[in-house]
Amino acid sequence: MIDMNALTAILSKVEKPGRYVGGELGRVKKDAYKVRFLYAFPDVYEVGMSHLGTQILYKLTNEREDTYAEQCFAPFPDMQEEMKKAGIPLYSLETFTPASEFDIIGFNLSYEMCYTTVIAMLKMAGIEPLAKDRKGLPIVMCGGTCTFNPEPLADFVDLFVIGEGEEVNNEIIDLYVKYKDAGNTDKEAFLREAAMIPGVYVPSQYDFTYNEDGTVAKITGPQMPVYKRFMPDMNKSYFPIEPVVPYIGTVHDRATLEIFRGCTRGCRFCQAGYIYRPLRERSKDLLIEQACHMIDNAGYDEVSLSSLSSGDHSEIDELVGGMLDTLGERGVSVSLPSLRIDSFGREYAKRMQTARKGSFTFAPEAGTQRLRDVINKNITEEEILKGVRNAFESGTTTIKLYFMIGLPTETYEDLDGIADVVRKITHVFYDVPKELRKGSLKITVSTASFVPKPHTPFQWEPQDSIEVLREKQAYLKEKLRIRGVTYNYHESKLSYLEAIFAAGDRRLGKVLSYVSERGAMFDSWQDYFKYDLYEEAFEALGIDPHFYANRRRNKDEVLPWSHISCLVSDDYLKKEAQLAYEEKTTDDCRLGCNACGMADICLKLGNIKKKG
Amino acid sequence: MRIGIKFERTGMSKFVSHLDMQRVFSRAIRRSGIRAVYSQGFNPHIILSFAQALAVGLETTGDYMEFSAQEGEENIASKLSRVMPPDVKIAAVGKLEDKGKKLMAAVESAEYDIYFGAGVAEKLRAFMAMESYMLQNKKGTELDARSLVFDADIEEDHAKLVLSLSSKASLSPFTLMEYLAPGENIRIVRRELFTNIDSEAKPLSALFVENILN
Repeated sequence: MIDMNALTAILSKVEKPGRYVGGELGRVKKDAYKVRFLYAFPDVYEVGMSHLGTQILYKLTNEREDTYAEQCFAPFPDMQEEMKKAGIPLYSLETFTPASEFDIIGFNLSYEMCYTTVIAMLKMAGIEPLAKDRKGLPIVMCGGTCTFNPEPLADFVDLFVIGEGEEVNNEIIDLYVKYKDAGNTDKEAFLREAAMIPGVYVPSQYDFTYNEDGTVAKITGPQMPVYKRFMPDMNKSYFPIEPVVPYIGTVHDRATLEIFRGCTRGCRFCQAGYIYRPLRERSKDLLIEQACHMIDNAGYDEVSLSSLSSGDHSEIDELVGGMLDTLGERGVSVSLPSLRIDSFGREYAKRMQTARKGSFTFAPEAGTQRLRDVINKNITEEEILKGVRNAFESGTTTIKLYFMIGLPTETYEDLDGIADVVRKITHVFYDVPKELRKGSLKITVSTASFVPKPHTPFQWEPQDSIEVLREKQAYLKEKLRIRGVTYNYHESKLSYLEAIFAAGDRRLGKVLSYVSERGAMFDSWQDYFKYDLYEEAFEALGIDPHFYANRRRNKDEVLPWSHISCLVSDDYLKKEAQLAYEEKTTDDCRLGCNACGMADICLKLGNIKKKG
Repeated sequence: MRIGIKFERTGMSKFVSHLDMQRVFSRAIRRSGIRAVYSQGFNPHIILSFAQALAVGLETTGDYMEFSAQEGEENIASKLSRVMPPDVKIAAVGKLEDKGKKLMAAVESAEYDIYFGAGVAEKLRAFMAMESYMLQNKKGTELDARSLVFDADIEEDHAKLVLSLSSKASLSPFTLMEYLAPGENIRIVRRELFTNIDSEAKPLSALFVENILN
């Protein structure tokens, strides 16, 4: 255990000390166990505690009698400094045990810009960040979305989990227990054996060779490719109905239910839409039961029905209705994040009365029908305007609109399209009878910059250069000088680095080492983002960042993530890329199988009747 | 039905902020299944209030909060005790007079246990021997701290102090100790909140018109 007196002394000096003390309702206590597993989240407590995947795995691992899973989060810079001064290493919230004393540390990677925080946390724990320098324990593993291209972190991590972790984490722990029981401390042997577990990628067991032009020539290793793991039946899959209930306010301060995994829409820019296939729903009855248990156990006043596109649940009307009938009288509200614009006006949306909150968020993503067809965001202008009309008529005055700039084939006409849509939305508002409007109109338009992501039809695309993105932002800024409209855009330097690391290979490990040694971490926090350090690193190491971010990749190139498979076929991605350039859309695959490569699985799951 | 709760907050949970404590109690009430009275409006919430704000870092074994339960609710004490987080415990539950003063308005003083190292006891004794001792509280207001200490029982490593704590004049034990023994490692535990009944200091629980034991 760390020095508790020293910890108590520094806690009175830092901001929000409640982040660092544990002791919440639902946090697991255990006395006897063989294996100590630390779930580490490379962001602050408030962000990490809102991450459903971590909550599921934390509770699930603790169902094992032989393993005690604990948690830790990244201390904010003020706390880091105090910990350093007081000689306190990174520690777990359950037992205040130094992270270095665990058998296994598992990091979640939700976002490319958390990589430096992972490295910083290892250093705070007194653990060698480079895998080759670590002789003994702990074993450092990573899971989460970013492991679909794990290469930039390959030098630092012993093993990656590809896909959903519920089963495979247990298989890794089983193997570890076998070694521990036999008194076998040969880490190399353990990793060699782990590298054969389906869904486990051990980077040290894989070799990369490169062509003269810098592209990957060949990847070799024990599993070629490593297929992702997924839970076939959400009605049987574990869900933590006794969650840890934070003392302090978190980003998502509510009970979160996962109503389905996967998404059938096939938006071509969206990585989640490909890597989380196939569609797997939880039944309405099970969800209502889980919601009741969660409210009983946690006492939240809000249930969030989470998924990639919540309005798409096949029983959504009955689900929302049932939730409200059961929980409404207990003062519990129901919310649906990630709603599509075409769901507004439907039965469940009316019943939720979200209008009372006065704000709606829509994501048309692109300003013209042509570009929406390119990205396969199957939504028409008519649907957008009908959606906002519904919202305005039910009393909404504040609308948030999300668009992307820099999408493949985008021209300035498409940017004009964004301004046109916004203008038309203001007209819709002023067309609504005055007595139905509650106040004045506020529209916030936000643009994110397109980041080409692995395992999508746009994985071969270049990103616009920072200069081009800035010009587009400046152009939109002018175009969106409309009364009641505010325009925000994402920092293009951050999007640029995101593109580099999203499409990066293991040669970028040197860049991460370089910037980490000079204090980079919390890159996604604007105040701590040190872009100059990255620039300096690329320069000093002779690595061309444009090679990763701004280059059109050849369709027959070996991509740095070619050894990782999300089960969607390469041919399908190529076909979709082609259709994008032909401005042709692909239907929601519930209307008919599009043959993405998972038909056999969908057949087994009953998603489709016969192979398409 | 107005319900008063005496509670403890110990261990690391002392680092939870006052705002977060409100959330802790509204969630606990919702978990308990006790039907509470909610506010009206867009976002109905359980109406509750604390007798005193809990500063970050303050341990307590004698603080109070109140809320209103629907008429006829039973077993409030046991229902609530069952669902509290590990370091926040229910010490006593009682009914409060329906039309009575808010607990917040009734508090006049508080008793603290203060634990310290060598040398601090002398400083405290010297302070008690003074007629007045001016200091600035956190808000920057000048106070005569000596006149706000109603009682002191000083031992070598520990003292029991009763300090004024009301809307008129309050002295924070943290501020006082910061002045008397700056930089010292000091642990402070609030033990009881007092109200005045017939000009006599009584624990706030004296306002319970009926104790709820179960």
